[in-house]
Amino acid sequence: MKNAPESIRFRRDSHTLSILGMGVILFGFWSVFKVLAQAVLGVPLFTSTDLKELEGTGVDMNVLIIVLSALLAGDVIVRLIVGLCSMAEGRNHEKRIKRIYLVFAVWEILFEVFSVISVFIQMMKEEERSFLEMYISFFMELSALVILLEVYIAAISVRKYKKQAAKKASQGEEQATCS
Amino acid sequence: MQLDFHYYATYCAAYLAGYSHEEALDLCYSAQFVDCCTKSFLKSISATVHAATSQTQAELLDTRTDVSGLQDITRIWASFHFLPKDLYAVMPPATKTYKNKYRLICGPNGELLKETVVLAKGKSIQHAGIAMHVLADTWAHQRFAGTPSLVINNTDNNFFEILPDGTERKITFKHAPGATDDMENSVYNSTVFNTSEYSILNLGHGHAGHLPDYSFIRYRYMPAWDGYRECLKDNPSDYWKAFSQMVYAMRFLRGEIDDFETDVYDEKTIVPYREKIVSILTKRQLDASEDWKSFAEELSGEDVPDFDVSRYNEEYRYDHENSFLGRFILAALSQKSMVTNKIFSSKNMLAGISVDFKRKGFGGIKDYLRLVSDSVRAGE
Repeated sequence: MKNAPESIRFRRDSHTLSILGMGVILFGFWSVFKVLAQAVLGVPLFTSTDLKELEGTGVDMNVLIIVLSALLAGDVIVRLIVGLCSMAEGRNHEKRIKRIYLVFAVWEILFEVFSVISVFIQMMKEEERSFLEMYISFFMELSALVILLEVYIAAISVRKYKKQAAKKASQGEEQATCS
Repeated sequence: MQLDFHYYATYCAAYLAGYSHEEALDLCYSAQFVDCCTKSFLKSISATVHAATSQTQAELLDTRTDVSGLQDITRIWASFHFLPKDLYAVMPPATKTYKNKYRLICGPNGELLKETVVLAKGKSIQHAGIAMHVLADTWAHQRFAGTPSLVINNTDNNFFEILPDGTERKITFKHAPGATDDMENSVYNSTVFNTSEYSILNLGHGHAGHLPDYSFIRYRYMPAWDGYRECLKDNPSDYWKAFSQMVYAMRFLRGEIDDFETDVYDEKTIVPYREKIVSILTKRQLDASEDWKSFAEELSGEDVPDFDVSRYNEEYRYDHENSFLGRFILAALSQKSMVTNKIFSSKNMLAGISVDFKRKGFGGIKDYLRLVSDSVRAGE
């Protein structure tokens, strides 16, 4: 039985990747769901302070919404890539893994760090939005950040294990050829 | 384990332990009957449903998984099919709820096995049969618990069959109730995944299908509770140990041995038949009944009739106490009562409350009154 600590860690990290990959995808759709819910329930997307600031810049509201939608769609696509690839890596489906997904993961981590900080600052300012509303947003962003960090750490660990296993296998083959 | 081992192999073990042909037949009938004594069956013969030793799929689907429903399920399955190995098992820090379930994990050579075998000593042949069923199942069903629990009984897709030539083959599970297992391609049936912790689909070894019940198979997998550690389930070896331990236990029950010790096997008695037994255990087949039956008949030189679940029904209608089924029911109540009491005494409520009648007088379900009177008469 392969029950050495590194094998156990590999299995644990693979499981983490497979479960949290799903989490990354769900959190991607959370942003879309949040915006849609605000639109359906008539909750303004921008606070009055935001709108006042925008008026000064002369940016058209329609253009702003299009840009926002494009950013949101881009975010969902990136999260889908990260989520699906980490699930594939966790389940050892080599063909479906795009090795570059970790770069996207890092990008999303940076984006989430920024989000967490900005939501926290807004929460402290106590603007028009209720504390509860901000509190939920803060914990959702924080959870998304923790998930992405875990995915990144688990993916690095899994790759390290695979690399070592491949090295051992090739050394074994070499020894077999020599003998 | 299935009929092949509980009926025919138990007959062989009983005969080798020194029982006569007739006694061995009664004993193996009782061992197999544990899988058939359901509430539906007991109702059909107007017997107490509290003596149920098993549940049909329909009964399980009909059982509510509230506290009392779960306790009822646990009393049946932990007492007769998944005897807990260690009710006081030390484990890493966890919640009380998790600890309670973890401590119900079945395994061979536990303290409760000793209690089970000792309890059957000096009792009816039916009681001995029940004890042999419980003993054999501790080997087959190890690492699973007789209570519905996803965190304990779940497994993942990491199942590999180890073939006789040493190579490994991935096991695929399908979820088609009633479909037969395809051992040539390692495609087996198992219960479907259910996220509810207390779903009856998460009872026992459902997620591993019938793999624990086949004597020939060797496989590796990861139990949900073991922190990502893989384990090897070597059924031929486990079944060999179960068989030799049954012979040892039955020699104890017959009075040939003074004390029953766990982890002791009577290999000396069965060594002359080793080749035959090992060949049956390792033969790739889903049902080894024919092979065990011919071995049984070869051993005793007598005819071993096929198992008939209703063989003793008529007799029970006329005599509730001293008939074959009457004695079986009493033995079942005794075993269930003992295991429930031990689980309750370990401050684990998963099997329900147990009243110690010696200290507090009789209380609870009146069907147990006969068991209490019988025990008082016997001076226990």
